Amino acid sequence: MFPLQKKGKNSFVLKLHKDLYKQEPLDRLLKEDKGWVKELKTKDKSHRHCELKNAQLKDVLEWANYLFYLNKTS
Amino acid sequence: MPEKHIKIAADHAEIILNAKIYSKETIFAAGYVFLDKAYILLDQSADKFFVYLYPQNESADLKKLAMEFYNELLNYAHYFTRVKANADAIKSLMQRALFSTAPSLVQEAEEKEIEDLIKELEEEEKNVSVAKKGKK
Repeated sequence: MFPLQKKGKNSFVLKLHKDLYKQEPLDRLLKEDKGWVKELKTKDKSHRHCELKNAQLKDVLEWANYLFYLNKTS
Repeated sequence: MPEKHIKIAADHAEIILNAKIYSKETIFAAGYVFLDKAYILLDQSADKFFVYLYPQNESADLKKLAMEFYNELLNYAHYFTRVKANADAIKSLMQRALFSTAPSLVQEAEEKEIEDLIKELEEEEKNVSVAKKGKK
């Protein structure tokens, strides 16, 4: 399942698998970037869905890379 | 064969990995090396990992990038296998190295071992004498 979906003109939804992305770094990043990233409520038990508003694809990918970095180093 | 595990899209490469062969740690280690040349998204199903690589340099060859990622995976898979296989030897070497920098630790360890042996012998003697009294 492709984890990135475009939603509207300048928004994206990123689906992050709970077994791959640790809870703590993701919570921290969501708190830091609450101005443009928020977690969506979902019935999906395996993924956390994050909506990134007013963003270009590059912004989303950079955010995902930073999350990857935090997962590796924390 | 690689075509089955690598899918090339317009702006990214998708790599499908067997979870029985590659661990999550191996994928994160390989991905860490690629953070400066690709954007990485991950997903997983019951027995597969999915790695999506978006090159940071738009003119990059996606297939080449995916193959380089495979090489890095192999590198780390081998590394983790060797670490696991040599864990006892590594532990022993580390202990020797630490003891050689602080010889007093060797003496302390030897004294502790002797004390433990003496205690063990004393307990054995006690048990033997109790058993003898019981027979009488």
